[in-house]
Amino acid sequence: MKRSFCIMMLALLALWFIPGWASQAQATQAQTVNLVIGGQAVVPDAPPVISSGRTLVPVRVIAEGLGADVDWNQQTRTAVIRRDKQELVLRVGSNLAQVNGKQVKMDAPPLMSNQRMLLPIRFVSESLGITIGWVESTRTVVANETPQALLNGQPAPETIKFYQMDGTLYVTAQAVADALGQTQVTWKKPERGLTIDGQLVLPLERMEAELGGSFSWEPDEGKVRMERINTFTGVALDGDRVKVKMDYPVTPKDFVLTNPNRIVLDLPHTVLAAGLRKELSGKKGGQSTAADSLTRSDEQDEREYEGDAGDEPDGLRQEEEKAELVADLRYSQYGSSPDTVRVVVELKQKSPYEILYTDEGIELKLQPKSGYLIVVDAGHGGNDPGAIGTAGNREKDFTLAVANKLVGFLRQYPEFQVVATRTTDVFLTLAERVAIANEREADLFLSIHANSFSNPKTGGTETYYYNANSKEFAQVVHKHLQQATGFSDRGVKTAGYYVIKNTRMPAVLTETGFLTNPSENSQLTSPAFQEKVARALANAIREYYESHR
Amino acid sequence: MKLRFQALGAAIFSVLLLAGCGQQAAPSPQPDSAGGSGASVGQPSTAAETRQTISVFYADSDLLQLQEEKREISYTDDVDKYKKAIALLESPEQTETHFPLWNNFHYHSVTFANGQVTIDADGQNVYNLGSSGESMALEALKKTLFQFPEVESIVILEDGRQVETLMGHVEITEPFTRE
Repeated sequence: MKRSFCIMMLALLALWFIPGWASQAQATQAQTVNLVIGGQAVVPDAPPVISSGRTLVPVRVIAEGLGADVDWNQQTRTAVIRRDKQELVLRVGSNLAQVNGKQVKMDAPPLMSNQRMLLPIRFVSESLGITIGWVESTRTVVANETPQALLNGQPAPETIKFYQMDGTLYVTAQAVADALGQTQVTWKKPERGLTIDGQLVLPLERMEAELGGSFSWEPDEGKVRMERINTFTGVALDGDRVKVKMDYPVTPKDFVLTNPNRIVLDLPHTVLAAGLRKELSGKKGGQSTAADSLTRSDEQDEREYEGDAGDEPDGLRQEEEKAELVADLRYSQYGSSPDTVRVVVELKQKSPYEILYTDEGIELKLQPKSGYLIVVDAGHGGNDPGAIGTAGNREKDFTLAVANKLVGFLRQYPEFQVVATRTTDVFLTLAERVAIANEREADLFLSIHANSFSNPKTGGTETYYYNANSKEFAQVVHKHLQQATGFSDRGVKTAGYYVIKNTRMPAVLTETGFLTNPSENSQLTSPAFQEKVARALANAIREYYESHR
Repeated sequence: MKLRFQALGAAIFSVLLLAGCGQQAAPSPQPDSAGGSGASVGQPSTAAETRQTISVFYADSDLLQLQEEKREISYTDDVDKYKKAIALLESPEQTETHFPLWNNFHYHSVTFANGQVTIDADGQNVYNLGSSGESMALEALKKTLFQFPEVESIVILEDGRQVETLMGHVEITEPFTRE
């Protein structure tokens, strides 16, 4: 490794600016920071420091540790960094860098500060094939060569990062799981790992115990091999659940097709069990039925059924007894790179569903329409608190309390099927709330809210609708709601709020009262009052239902 | 990982701020000189500024109807005019009967091109309005900006991105146009 630093370079420590990490800096004085380069702890003459909110790392130390050369031209204020076959040219004040002769635009240009050149660390390291991370707990900068990684024979996605510390290679655990198609993971021993850049990284050698498969690292070659193939062993119907049996609970890509109604599940990094494959090839050779395997139309992605999609793959169709809802279950080895198994659930009627993860794989819980379907929507939720009341209370808590009670009251009627958009403190977009109702072809939609304004004297109850089909429902709801609250009557109004505009069934949005009005708010926060409101809404829905039977 | 890069970008940006490059504008309500002289439109007062009397809209005390006030502003160009108008939405003169529908409304930028005003709102803003309030606030904003004939449409973004809604009830994915 030849070193070529001009004299100026020795005087100027080029400092790598590491934003984001600096937010951890507490004191105004410089704080020490540790360095691990290529897996080895390094204590340079001038250690990295945090100063005025910036982490400053001497690039020469990292460069030497990882075999990079740095040249600095004082006149043109240009730095040329070379490593392996990569060459990076950066100029102070220019956000255009040259990576191996090709021009690349950076988010921010290098800066000069106190005769030091600040370089954007991630851009530089990634261009040079170096991975950089920050370990908050030990205040350590980790820098090492980025290994060549394969996942099931294909180059691993860049979201998977590797860090070398104490002779151990750590990998971003969730990124690996995601890439293998498994977004739901409960880590068995997360304490064996570290947090780098806010993510859990586990020793590579732990990954087999956590996820199955095999994970290996050849440090001399700088290569990592990760393999995990999920084996699909079958699909069966059990009541209202379709059980998809396989080794691991991968997250399917799921969508629906129509004509006929079907639910399609694409299982990533999954292959058919050997036994199933054998049956397939046997069947192919022998007498095959006309509608074998996946049908031609099962070949579609989420586009409209077109009818011509190329070759039919081999697959096995399982004859199912005539269930009320499920007409057929089919599957096949649908794709490779990555291996994908496609499972098709053919239905006799459209049915929304929920995917559940179990020890044996996944389950499709079918939720067809079984009665007069009412969707109850508790406004706001999660990171959207809604308006804030005079007691510091949040609208989202009020709406959920009333909604949960309302659902309870409605479920007492056997003819009603009730779906809540949320039953806990979670966020949903307006589009999601509407989709829940439209996809299920609900009969009614009711959204619960509370009002707010800068004048504490403002108060009252109002009910909104938008589409013509909702007017009568709105009037019935308002009648009951107004009687229950006893607040001033702001009446039935129209407004193009998203959830009442885009729903296809009669839909209303209720503003029960004003959280910013002290006397109204003390009621709104009272469980007895919430129950009274819920009961009134249930009565309104019942009245509307009765008059439209 | 995406989050990380955004944090990176934001942090680098903030370094540039420390270096004094670029400003993050937060409008402060403009106290108005209630001159009371005749409503003249577009009279130059200084070499660079234009004075104009405009309409600004607020809520009534019951949050039922919008109320109009005539206010005077001075501005250097169209964008400055919009910013001054938006700032006035926060401070009615007749505080007994007029209530502002916008408070501490921070934005990253206001731009104007091809008849479209784009307001890039700060994602940290807290609005604390129900559906009625949100609806009236947007109405007030629309009426205030559409009084200028060159404004054909209004787009509201949040932190540079299109969002479904500002306060949770009204969809803002499509530009507002004159009715």
